[in-house]
Amino acid sequence: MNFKQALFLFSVVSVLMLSGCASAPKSTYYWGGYEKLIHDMYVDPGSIDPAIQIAQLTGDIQQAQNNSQPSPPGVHAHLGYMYSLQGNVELSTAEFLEEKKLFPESASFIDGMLMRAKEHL
Amino acid sequence: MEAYKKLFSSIIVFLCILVTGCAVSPPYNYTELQKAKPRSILVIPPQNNTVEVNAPYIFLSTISMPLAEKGYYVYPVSVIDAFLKENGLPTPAEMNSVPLDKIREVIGADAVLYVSINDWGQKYSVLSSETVVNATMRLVDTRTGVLLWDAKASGTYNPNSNNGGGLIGVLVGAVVNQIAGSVIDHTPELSSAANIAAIYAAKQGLLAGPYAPVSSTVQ
Repeated sequence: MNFKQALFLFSVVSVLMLSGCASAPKSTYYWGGYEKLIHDMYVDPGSIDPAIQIAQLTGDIQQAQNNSQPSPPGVHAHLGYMYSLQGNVELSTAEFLEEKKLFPESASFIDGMLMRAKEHL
Repeated sequence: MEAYKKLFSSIIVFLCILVTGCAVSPPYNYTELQKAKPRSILVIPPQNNTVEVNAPYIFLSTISMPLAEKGYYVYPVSVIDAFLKENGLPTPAEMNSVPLDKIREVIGADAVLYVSINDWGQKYSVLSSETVVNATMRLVDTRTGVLLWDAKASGTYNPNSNNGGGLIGVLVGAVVNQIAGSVIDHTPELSSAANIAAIYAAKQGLLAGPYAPVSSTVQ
């Protein structure tokens, strides 16, 4: 083993050490305040009623568009659910359909939500 | 000289294993995961085996990001929680017992992530306080019930890393940290870091899903 090989091994070791043996994720989506919003819904529910959630989520979706980044899975469905809690069927339906368009995997779930929303009318 | 070289390389290999703690782990057996190729993951609110009532939901707030960034469709965790509650399942314990075929039929998920919280929150001792998170997760195929992947997500945060003031300094440090710690909950950041580490771990983490950028799907 020469000096160069030793140096290479040391750099490999350092990289493994710094990364904790895991590669850091690169962000595909713009997350904004989604994680904190979920946290606060349960830990401090009084601080975050549907109106506040709608303001935060629509702000995050706008910011994602400004950054040319997609919004993560679930964000439009979550927003749709908040609109439905406010009784706003039109915007709720639009957001649910947006989720389904962006992520076809959500189809069964979204169709069920839309069907149940209709039954409540 | 040869012997010296050999010694040198074994020291490096030893250091590598010591430092990473994962160089010795054999790669995860991904046969079932590769066969099932799930596109969507439903995270059931975690089963809580601790007395920290908020633990399942703090965990839930930190799991969507790493799963989605890994390339999977993740159902909106709190909408799912509300949906299950509206359907007569008020607690995570009951939600964890919903039959898989029902989940597949009503929600359409390819896979379910079952989570158990084993340890959570601040631990106080005379000399220090530290924050811990410890959860196990199991990804199960909703068609077959087969285990696709499992992992442990755990971490410890200890703010008392240095104490120059002798025993009294240590005691004061513990008290100050306990008071400060009651205001600031470190479990969200810790849980987030633990989940990212578990899902992205080399050779043990979750394989990339259908939405992952092409470069990251080469394993």
